Amino acid sequence: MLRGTRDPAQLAVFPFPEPLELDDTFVVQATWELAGTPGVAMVPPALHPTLPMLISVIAVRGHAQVRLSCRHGARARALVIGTSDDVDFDGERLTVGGGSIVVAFAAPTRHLGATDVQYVTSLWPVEMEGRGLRLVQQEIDVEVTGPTRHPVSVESWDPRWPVPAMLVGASVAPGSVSLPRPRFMARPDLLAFEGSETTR
Amino acid sequence: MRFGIFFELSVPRPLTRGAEQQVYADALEQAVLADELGFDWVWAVEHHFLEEYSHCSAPELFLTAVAMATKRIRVGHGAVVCVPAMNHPIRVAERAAVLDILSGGRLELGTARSSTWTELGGFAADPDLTKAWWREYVEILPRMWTETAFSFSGLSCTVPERNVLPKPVQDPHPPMWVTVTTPGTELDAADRGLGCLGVAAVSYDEQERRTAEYHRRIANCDPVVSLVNPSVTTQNFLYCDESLDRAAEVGGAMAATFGLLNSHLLWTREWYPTDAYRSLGNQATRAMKETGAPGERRAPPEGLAIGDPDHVLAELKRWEAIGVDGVNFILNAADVIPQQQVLDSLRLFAREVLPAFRPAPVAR
Repeated sequence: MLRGTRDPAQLAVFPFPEPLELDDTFVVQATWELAGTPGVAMVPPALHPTLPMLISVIAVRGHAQVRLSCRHGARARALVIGTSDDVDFDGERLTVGGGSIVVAFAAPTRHLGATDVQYVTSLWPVEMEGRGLRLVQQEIDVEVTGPTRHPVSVESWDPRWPVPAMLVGASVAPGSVSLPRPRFMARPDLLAFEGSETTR
Repeated sequence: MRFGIFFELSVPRPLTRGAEQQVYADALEQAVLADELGFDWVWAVEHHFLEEYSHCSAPELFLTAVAMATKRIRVGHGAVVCVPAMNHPIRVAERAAVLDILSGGRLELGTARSSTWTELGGFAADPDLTKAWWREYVEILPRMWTETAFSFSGLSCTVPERNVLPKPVQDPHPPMWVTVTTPGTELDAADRGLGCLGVAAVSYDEQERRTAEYHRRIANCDPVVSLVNPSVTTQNFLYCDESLDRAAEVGGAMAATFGLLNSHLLWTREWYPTDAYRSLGNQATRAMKETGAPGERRAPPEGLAIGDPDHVLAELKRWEAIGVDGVNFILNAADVIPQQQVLDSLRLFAREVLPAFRPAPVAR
């Protein structure tokens, strides 16, 4: 089965993700297919790329992540390749990193139920003291009401990241978000069944 | 109790043209043997773009080859995807009728709506509309097979008055089914008079509850078909070996490989915000939120037909006892079991297990 070939040493590395609790926030997510680069070249050997590969931006008040769709073992995951704490969303335009990413949201085309939008668990490449590089798993717990689906267009995109191709879907949901303290992590070079560890 | 074999036609990497050709050849050989051994059905899925998991994108051609090479086993679409960009309704009716003619009236027609973004996105099909399209297909297919002046205007197609030809051999038409992954679809099947072609792992208790409700509903249904098909089947894996340990090792590897390949599919619901898909689809029916460790393996579903003959018989008798009318077996996954072992497993099953589900010969 497909397995990533990216050298883990080439992954962008982030600090250990801090827990986050936000009430009265928005959860914005926009996802596109990628084209041109084989998925296996984008993720390390611990992960399985999806067919097709997707790139997604998820943002809440004060925090955004750019992620790639993948599998870890049998589980759906998203590999974090970029983050920013500079996020602005005015209902029509998502601006991340002072304009490195700008996505325009048109009027909603569908009103959805609270459980109709999925927020896939993130994997953060983190240099763990005494252990080396690990993929730290952070769940995204949301309680949203009245999510809506929107057509979107990319007005600006940071060239550090793969360029979005066909839109998959984008949503906006008001609600509360919890990014709990991670409990699990995994080696980036081993499959999930051999390389999973607890963070303690 | 009837038994079928069920083909996804998964191909191991590296995905060479020779590997694909071998998978098709092996499947055809398995189907011919299943016919000789007394199995009731050969089913073939329809999937597109699903590397490794399923290279069965033109099942009508594969099933035609099966029909030409066999004598009595029934050939089943498990299932035709009812999405206009993939299959125009008229073409479904035409191809099915031809297959029914060529097979001598042995066609079963399953219907489905597709669950993966890989497939729906690949055909630029709107996931929100798949259920509405499916409802139309199951209503108009029987009409196209039975009316000489068919016309229709709907979401899936607009057809001025035409005689859709040829007509199937089976009168009024082949039995129709719907693949059931999302809980509740079995009720959609019952209300329309369709057979329930289970393709998701369901526990004994859950299957018993769903089967009872299905039969209660279909007994009072307002059918869209001219031939009500009150049948419930479940999907299973088959690996039968004289050694229970060897069966568990070989068959377990097949089931695990299938499960992992299945979990790697890109389900529409994961990234596309929609109320049209309330579960992921196929075997991957668990919720997104998990509590276990990331490396934890999923426990195999209960009731698998993997074991020695006594074990397989006991499991299948339990499925029979809860009211299931048939079981369809996946025989291999990405060729993890050598072809000869697959054939030996089929023969052992037919010799030691199958007779327990067939009427005893009448004494003279």
